[in-house]
Amino acid sequence: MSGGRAAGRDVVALSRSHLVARLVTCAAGALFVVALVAAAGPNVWVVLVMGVAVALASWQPHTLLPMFVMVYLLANWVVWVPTASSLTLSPWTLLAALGLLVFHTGAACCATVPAQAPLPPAWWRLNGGRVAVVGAATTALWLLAGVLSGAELGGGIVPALVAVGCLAVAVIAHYRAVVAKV
Amino acid sequence: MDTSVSATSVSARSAARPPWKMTYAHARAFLLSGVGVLLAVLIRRPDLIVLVFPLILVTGWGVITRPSSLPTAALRQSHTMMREGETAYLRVDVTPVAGQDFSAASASTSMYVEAPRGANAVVIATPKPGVTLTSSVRLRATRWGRRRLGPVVFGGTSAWGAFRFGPTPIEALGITVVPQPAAFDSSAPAPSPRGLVGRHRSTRPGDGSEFAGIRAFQWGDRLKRIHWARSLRSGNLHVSTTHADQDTHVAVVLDAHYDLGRSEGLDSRPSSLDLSVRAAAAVSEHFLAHGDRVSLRVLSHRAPMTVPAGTGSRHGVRIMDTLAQVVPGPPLSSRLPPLQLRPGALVVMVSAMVSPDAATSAATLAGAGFSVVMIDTLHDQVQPADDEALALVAWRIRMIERDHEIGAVIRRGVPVVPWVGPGSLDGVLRQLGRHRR
Repeated sequence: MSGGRAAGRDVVALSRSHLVARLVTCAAGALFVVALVAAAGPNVWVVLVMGVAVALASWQPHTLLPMFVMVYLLANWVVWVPTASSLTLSPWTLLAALGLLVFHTGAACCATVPAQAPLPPAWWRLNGGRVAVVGAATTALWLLAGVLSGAELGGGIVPALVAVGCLAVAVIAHYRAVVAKV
Repeated sequence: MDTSVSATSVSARSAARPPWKMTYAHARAFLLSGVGVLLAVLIRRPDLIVLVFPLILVTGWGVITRPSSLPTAALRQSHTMMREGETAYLRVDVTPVAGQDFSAASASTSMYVEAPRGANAVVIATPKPGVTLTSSVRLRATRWGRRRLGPVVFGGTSAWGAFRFGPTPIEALGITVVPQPAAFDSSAPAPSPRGLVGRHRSTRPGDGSEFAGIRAFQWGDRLKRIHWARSLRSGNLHVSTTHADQDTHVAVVLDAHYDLGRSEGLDSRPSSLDLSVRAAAAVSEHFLAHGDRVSLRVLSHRAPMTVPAGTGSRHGVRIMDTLAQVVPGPPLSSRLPPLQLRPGALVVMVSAMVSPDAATSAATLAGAGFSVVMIDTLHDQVQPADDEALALVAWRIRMIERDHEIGAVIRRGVPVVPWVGPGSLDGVLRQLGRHRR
């Protein structure tokens, strides 16, 4: 109960710019939901739950809630979007990826500054610029994926093993660079 | 008197310095990247790669730009003294490190120290490492006394909110909050001025500005004082005389033995001691502004204090500083300590008159020939804290006794004035002045 009251006080004390940042975060999550609806048209209840989850995560960005919500959003994408290549790499996929990027960035940046402090213009410029750079790279990858999906590439177990090996190396590198130093 | 311009600078540095820590956001990006890529490979979903690709970039960017050293922050205050109701600025000097995007500072509020909306926290952009940046947070003190501003918690964040420094506390800084004098303006003269300088009209003739009369010329009179019209009519030289302008010694006695009622700050309901302290501040400032000598005596068992007679704005600051240190404490005996006043002093006793001691002391001083005025600072809203019928009855009985004591002290020639702000003392001071002449 006291946690709920604290959360309520947190929202009441929000500065105007911080409120805008959280609304942007919520809107980005909603963009992902819209893209999912457009790409696959899931159950209405699922859409409703996703909307509520996104709003809750925007309300409490400094908790673990955004992680669970993003896992839930991705799981719904995997479940509802058909596996036909024409749909999996449609423009809605790019829109969903950009929505997920802004949602994550908004939640991450809102969680690291006091809620009652006004956000300086530099905060918007810096984070906006970075989102634009990563968004552009994502768009490039989406275009590349679209081109490659039309090509006839040899499959098999080898590419999968290489991908899993790369992932393992990345995890070990991250552990040694970050977790072991903390 | 400007008490808020003290140029003293006090600073405190953050003591404990924890390292940069990974945030939930970075863990989230890392976890979703790994799971997304693994899932995409295993179930052959290239769209999952596109979805988590931004998170992969964000994770890598966050790790590469992770700060390796620790930022520093120091806290300063530009004033060591301010009036209640005014806003204090706490300046936070931040020296960021490479890889740090933003710093944030937030000041805690406490009893009688509040923050205007959004003013006690600040986010500082730190684009250049090693360059000290200054930002400030604001806090407002709502009651006189020794207050603490802070503590302030300070933190920093790296790119994409991936790593976080702090929040680490910086210890609070002390500040003296002097009372806001209640609105008070008296145009009446002090009753028996004795000093050499001042603005009050003396009972004796002398070099002053207020006309006293016309008399025959005597050797030593100034030529500019000759009243030519009267001199021509009478055929003898006459001069106009004036009353001397003199000052007086105003002894402010503050009865701080009890504090009744709950103080809710400057903007809300005051306690009896709040009213007493503000009234004493107003009376002191008023007479100091008129060039009088003012002394202060605080009657409290826990913190008895005395400020000898003096004049000028610096003396006013000293009196305000003393008033800010008032702590209520009931007396050990019913006899008040001797006040050691010189003849001719005007004694202004500020008291809630809860116990008969103050009234007794005032009557004794009046019997010794002093001009004494009592200011009653017990307001109607003061009631017993609990709603018990017995407490209410006891309170009513005490109030009846108090009325009798006030009547008795008035019959001894001590006027008792309820504190109502502007002009509270005018009538009384005029009566005392006429009586003395």
